Parts: sequence; structure tokens; C-alpha cells
Amino acid sequence: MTENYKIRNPFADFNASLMDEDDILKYWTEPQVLFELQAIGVDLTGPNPVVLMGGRGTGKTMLLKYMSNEIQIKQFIKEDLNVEEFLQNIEYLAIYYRFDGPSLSSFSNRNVPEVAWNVIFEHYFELIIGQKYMLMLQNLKKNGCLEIAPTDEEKIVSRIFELFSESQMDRDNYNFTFLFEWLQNKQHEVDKFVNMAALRRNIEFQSEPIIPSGKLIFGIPKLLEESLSNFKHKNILIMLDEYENLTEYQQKIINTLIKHTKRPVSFRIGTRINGFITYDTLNEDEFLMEDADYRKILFEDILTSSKKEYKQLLKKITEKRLNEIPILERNGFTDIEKILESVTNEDEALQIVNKSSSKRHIQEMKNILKQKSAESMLPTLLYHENPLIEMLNLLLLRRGETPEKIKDMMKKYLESEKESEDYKKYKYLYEKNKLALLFQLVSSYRPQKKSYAGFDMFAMLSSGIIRNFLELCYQSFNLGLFFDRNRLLDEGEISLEHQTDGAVIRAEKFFETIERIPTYGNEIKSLVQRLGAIFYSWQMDPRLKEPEPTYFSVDTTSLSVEDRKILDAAVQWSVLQKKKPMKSRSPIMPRRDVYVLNRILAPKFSLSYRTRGRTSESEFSSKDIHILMCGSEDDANRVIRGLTGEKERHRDQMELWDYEGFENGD
Amino acid sequence: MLGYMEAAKEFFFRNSAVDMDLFIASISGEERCYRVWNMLNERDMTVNQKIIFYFEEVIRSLESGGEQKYDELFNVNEKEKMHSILYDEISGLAALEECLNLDDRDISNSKILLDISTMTKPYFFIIIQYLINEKKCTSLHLAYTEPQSYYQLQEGGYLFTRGTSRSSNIPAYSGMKDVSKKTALVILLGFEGERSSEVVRSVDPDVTIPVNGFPAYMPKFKDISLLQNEEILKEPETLYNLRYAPAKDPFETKIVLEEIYAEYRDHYNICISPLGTKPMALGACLFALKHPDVSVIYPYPREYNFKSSERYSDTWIYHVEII
Repeated sequence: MTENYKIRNPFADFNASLMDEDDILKYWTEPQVLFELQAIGVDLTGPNPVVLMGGRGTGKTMLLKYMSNEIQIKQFIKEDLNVEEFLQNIEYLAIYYRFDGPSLSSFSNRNVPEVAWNVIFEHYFELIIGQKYMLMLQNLKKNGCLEIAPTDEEKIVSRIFELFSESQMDRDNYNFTFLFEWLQNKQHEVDKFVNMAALRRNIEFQSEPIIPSGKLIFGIPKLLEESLSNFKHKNILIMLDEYENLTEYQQKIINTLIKHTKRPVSFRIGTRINGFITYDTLNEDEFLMEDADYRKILFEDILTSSKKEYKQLLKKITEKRLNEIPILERNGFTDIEKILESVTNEDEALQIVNKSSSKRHIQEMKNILKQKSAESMLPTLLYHENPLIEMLNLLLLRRGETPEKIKDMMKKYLESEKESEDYKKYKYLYEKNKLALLFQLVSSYRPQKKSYAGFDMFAMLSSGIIRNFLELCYQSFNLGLFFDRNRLLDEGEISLEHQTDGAVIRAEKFFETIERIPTYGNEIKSLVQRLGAIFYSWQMDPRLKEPEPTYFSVDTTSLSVEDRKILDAAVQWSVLQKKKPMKSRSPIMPRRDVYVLNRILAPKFSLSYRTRGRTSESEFSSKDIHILMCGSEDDANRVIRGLTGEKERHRDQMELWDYEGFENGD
Repeated sequence: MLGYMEAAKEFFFRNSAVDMDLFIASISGEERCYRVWNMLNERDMTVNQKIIFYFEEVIRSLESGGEQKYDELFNVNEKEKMHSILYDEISGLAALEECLNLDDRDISNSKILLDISTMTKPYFFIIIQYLINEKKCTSLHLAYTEPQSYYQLQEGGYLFTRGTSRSSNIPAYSGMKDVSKKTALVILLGFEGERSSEVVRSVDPDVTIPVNGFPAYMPKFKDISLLQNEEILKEPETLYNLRYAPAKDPFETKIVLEEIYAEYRDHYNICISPLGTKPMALGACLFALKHPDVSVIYPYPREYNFKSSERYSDTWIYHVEII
């Protein structure tokens, strides 16, 4: 068997949670843009708490894990640096802990009073972080980064015990391992209690000592700073991932610790958008305040607002993976931008029209001219070199422009009479609408499909979520390797067709996962399905009031609590992405929140991958939203008809209520 | 602490029948829910006390769908009806305890028969845990009636549940985690692939070990479960870890789990998700009882389909002895 046949998909593993430390080191690419936010007060390695907020797959876990002491030490060793200098060379030491939702939900049931659960969880969290500190110290020792005399270790452990207990055990055993095991035994007492609490009524937690909140979390780093010279001026970062998995009372406990962080400790919180169930603390009159108590990084916003940097990051990430495949590395096929073949809108339009013997868009133009008794003008409105020009002329005809005027405008545009008003207007209309016109053109030439291909397109579709991009590459490589292996391995290219099919598969898979969203999966799925139909209908609007509508706005204050929760869940799971609220049209009108459908879904509904403009149609009422999420098919169809203006529909347009089973290009 | 567990499997009542002190079952829209009770009567076996769980959600669903509920066949009086909420096992258990006055009663040597045929997995998990670890029962009889067939959807799949409300550890099965270890997730594969994907998402394991039911009730079932779980099996390492355990044998399933445990326990916290057949889930339950460090996770659905099978086939009794 030749190497050719053994090639594996370089994008097969893209979940940081499943990567071991070596994989993380291998695939790590620093998102510079995130480390250069000091200008806006965010310092990932500094003393102030930072909340890293982002959808699934944005890279939060990868970043937090990379910063952990385990990986940092490995990195140091990998670079062949002197491990004894590790502690001198680093600014911070970090421990990583992921909140395990299924386990944490056990810390609450009616057999134990709520107030007791508070104390138990505080105690439990102290024990967990205490163990994490001990594992870090053992790791530093094991790798030669920390040299410490047994007597000093004994003193430190002894002082740690003094933090919460007056009675001392046999001091001969005192070392980091002993303390780790002691803390672990205490944690297992809690674990056993949690299990028993499900079986026994009025059970009481009994363990000695119960460690008060903050004693170990802040106490141990302070002691280390006082006792070990290498720990002076080092920030100790507690990286807590998946904060959204905590219950409300558990978040209040950790919020309180964040609010009252004591140096050298600082927190890094990884969470999904809307992952904070509460910003309250245990003190009734205190709550967490952004900027005062923590800084926030919203991954998608940072990544998508710096498009150039985001694309560079994607290129670097993919380059590392492509380099892992010997044949690609040897042939120099490690630039994803080159591998993903792309096509301009104009070329794509031409290819679509040339593949068909009947020129359907021209027939449509002819029909309109016939109604205007101006059939003879048809040749003057054609421009076979670019069907999008013809589509624009068709649009202008539909909007009521005279054929003569259109002809003049087109002529000036094609002859580049830049000073003329007609040139400027036509150019503006062409640039603004050409992508939407391409979508309309494709729909006239079914079963041909709009392509979703090329590096820039994939970057757009990924919506600032790195995993989306890697998934798009994964699917495209799968198809490329299976159907067109030679082109990929010999020429370093994946065809437009295979990329498009890959993008559709990814969109379908993303759509399927929506149903799994806890509690509100069905409602969010209904909303997405119905939004897909609405946006598609708007996109096919013959008069093209707005070229590429992929969003809606709503006054969230008018929504019911339940409906708001559904929208929040859709944002938390990145099905919708919330954008800055729109300014209201009048000062007395409320500001409307804007929700964009995740672009990764665009290929499923044959929608544009861009978000443009602002239409009054996209302003949904709270009732519309409720029905689109929770309404029956009949009610939803009524709302969809109302929002899309059924009467104005073009005859080529898909049936609005055809959206069940609707597939790309069908 | 659970000692060594001795167990046997046999066709129900093949050997001489024994009288029972306590019989626990649940009603549903499936005929098999009263099959064991029927067999007890046919053989004139004495049951001193019976408790039939009436889950609110089941009653509501069957009544609203105009489906038959087979409660009259149990010949149950009001005192024997255990009205409970399906999604709150802890309250259900407390109600059972109260109803049977178990607080002050020694049932450690009682002959107890629990019919798990139509009881949800979290419910029978917590009841078994309670009987063995709290009431120190030394012997349990667990009955299971196989359906003759499952209702198949037009598109080919099977519908047992809809949606997910949350993924949680089954109460009393939270395990004991070691923060220095990674996590290995063992999934007993069922027909609903989206539920296994949901569990993988919730646990975020370092290693996933799928266990498929083979031999299955019907030959095609082993393939259906693989196809339905394509999403998790597409990970090459997960597919590589695939194991098999007989779909109707809890004890063989337990042995497979013991093998996995021996292989992974040194470096991994073990977490099991029992999404396969009830007998396999029972195997997971017995295994988790023996290993309190193991946690059991369950993706609670938003809705159960309480009429997913028709008629009944073999009835099995599994006898568990705690020595």
C-alpha cells in the first residue's frame, strides 16, 4: 500500500477537550489578537480577572489549557530551555479546571437544605482547587522546575494546615503528595455524602474540618509567595472552564470569590455567551460588575472584528495540520487559501448560465419587456460576458425603470464614464446587489447550486468560530480525498463542488445538533427552520428590497420570560449571534436587539453568507418571535406569509411553506 | 460498601416458583408492563405486598393520546398506587419509603421482585441502590420482559424519547472523581444517536468507549445502533475502542465493564452512560454498585414515548445475591 492510500484527514481532530497535552502543544497557534488587548484593559496573564466568553469551538478551552502549568512546562522543555529557570522566566502559573455539569447538578436536592448545599459546595471547591495547587507543585518538582528541601516542603504544608485547622497530624509525612491525598480523601467524603443525600431524608453533612470559602484558594498562593522566592510577583491564575455548567447558587459562590480576589490569585473564566446565570454574589448588595471586577473578551466579536488577523490565525492553524501530512508537506500544499479553490461571483454566474441551454433569466426579461411593449429593447439590455449585469437590468426593470434608462446606465458603466451620475448609480447598485443577484440567478437555474467555496467564504461561514472553519475543511477534505484524490495530492486543490458539498454537510450537521440543545432544542430548531424560509424568501424578493437579509431584530423587553430564555439559549449555543442593538428609528422607540443566523447554516437554506443593510421587514414583533419558536405549523405559516408578503412573491420563488425538507439548491 | 455479588439468570419461573414479600412495577402503555404480574397470578404465587408506580407523565401522555394503560390488570387498590413524578427520582424514592414505612422496617431478608420492564432507567437505578446500600437487602429478583417488537418510525428509526432536558448523574451514582485523572466515558449504545452525542458533549471525555449490544434481541439491531451512533463513532479512536456485550445479559455486560475498568482505572475516572437495553443498563447498575468511584450519567429526555413497543416476548429474571 502506498503512502497515497494511507493519508488521513488533517482536520479529523478539532476538539481541544479531546486533545492531550502533546496535541495541544503541536496544534497551538497563538491568537495574537487576544494577547494584545492591553490597550482596552484586558491582560490575559495579568492580575485582573478575565471572562472569556464565546460559542462552542471558538478556542476558549484550547487557550485556557495552553496556559495551564502542565503545558507551559512541556513547552519550556520542548524548547530545550533550562527547566531550573522556568519559574524565573514566566509571569504566571495557571491551573485549569473544567466544571463538570452532570456532577455539579448532584449538589442539590430536597433532602438537604439549600443553605447546607452552599457550605458543602464551598468546601468542595476549596478541596478541588487545593488539590490542583498540589498537583501543580508536584508537577514543578517532578520536572525539575522547583527545587525544595523536604523541611521547607514540610513547613509549607504545615502552614497550609494551619490555615483551616488547629490540630496537626504526624508532621513527618508532610509533603505536597500527602496534602494532595488528604484533600482528596476529604473530597471523597463529600462525594459519598452527595450520593447518600439522594437516598436519605434529612441527612446532615459531617466532616472535620469544613474549609471556609477562600481559605485555600487565596491562602495557598499567598503562602507560596511568602515561602518560595521563585513565586514572588507571579500571578496564580485559576482557569475555570465551562462556567455555564454551574447552578445559580454555585455561580454566586464563585462570583463572590472573583469579586474579592486576593493577589496573587486571579481568575480566568471560560464560558459560553449568556453562561452567567447570575452576576450576584453571596452578599445581597454586591454583584459582579464588568470592568470594575473583571474584563470580558467576547471571542467571536474580537475575532470577526479583526478580519485580517482572524484569517491569518486560521491560516496558521491549518498550516500546522497540513504540515502533519507528509505528502502535503513534501509537495508544499500547506496553504489552505490555495487548496480551497475559489471563484468570483461573475465567473460563477457565467458558468451557471453556460451550463444551461435555456437562458431563463433572459426569458424573464423578455416577458417583462413584452408587458411594456418594448421587446425590441431586449438586445440592448443583454451583456453575455456577465450575466450579473443582465440580472441587474432585470431587477431595474422589475423596479419600474424604463428600458432606455437602464440601457444608458449600463452603457456608461461598461464604458467606465466615471464622472457620470448614471455610472455611479449603476456601479453602486451592481456592487451592492451582485451577490444577491447571483443567488437569484442560481435559483432560476435549478438544480444547479450556489457554491460555498474558497478560503474567504469559509472564513465568513465560520462566524468567528474556529471549530466551524476546521469542520468545513474536514468535510471538504473528506470529499476531496474520496472523490478527487489525485487533484488534492498532486495539484493541492479541492474543487468548488466538493467544498460546497462539504459546507452543506457541515450546515446539516450543525442544524441537526440544534435539537440537542437542552430544554429548548425543539423551539430553537423550529425558529431556525422558519427563519431559513423567511430569509430565503426575502433574498428571492423580485424587487430585492434588501440584498442579503440574514438577521432579525426584536425589542427583547417585550418578550415573555420564557421566550427570552429560548433566544438566550440560541445565542448561548451560537445558533444565533447577537449584534450591537440597533438605534431606534425614533427616540421614544425602544432599542432593538439584533440576532444574526449563524452563517454556518447559510448553505442549508441557500442563503447569503453576508449580513447587509437594515429593513423594516426584519423587525419582528414579540408575537412573531413567539409563534416562530413555539407556534403550530399553521400559525407559523401565517406569520411567515405576513413577514414575507406572499402576494408579491415571484413565481420562481420557492413555496414559503415548503421549508420542511428544503435542501440547498433543490 | 457492597460486597461480592453473586447472580444468576434464568427464564422466569423455570425452576420452582418462590413467593414474594414485595413486588414493585410500573404501569405504562405497553402490554409487557403487567406480564410479570400475570405470570405470578398464573402460578398462584403469593405476593405479600405490591407497589405499582403511577408516573404522572405516563398517565397524562397515555390519556391525552387515548392509549390504553394496563393498570386494571394489576388489580391495584389505592394504597398500592405510588403516584410519582418521573423526573424526580429522589422524591419518588422518598414516597416509596414512606408508603412502605421502610424507615423502621427491616427488609434485608425480604424477597423482593422489581420489574424493570417499563420503568425508566434512573428510577430502577436509584431503587436498587436504595435497597442494597440503605436497606441492606441481601437478595434481589429483577424481572424484565422483552417486547415482541418496537414500533418503527416511517423513516426507519425508533422513537423512545424526544429532545434532552439535561444531562445529569443519576442520583446516588455521582461516583468519586480523582482530579489528577482524565475521564473515560463508557456508552452502552442505544438506538438514539443524538443522546450519545449529547452525553459526549456534556462529559467532554478524554476517551470514549462505546459498547454495542451483541448478540442483540434481533440480528439487525446491532447494526441499527451502530448506524444511529455514527456521529460519535466517526471519531477513529472511539470506533477503535468499540466493545460488545449481549443485549439481554446484565451479567455479561458487567463482565465487559469490569474489563474496561481494569484497563482504564489507573489513569481515568470512569463514567458510564446506560443508553442501551434495560438488561445492559442493569449490568451497568450492578457494576456501578460494586465500584462507587464510577459515575453514571443519563441524558434526561424532554419527553418519553410511553408506547414504543408492542406485545411481549420472553420474560427474564435476574437474581442478585449480595454476599
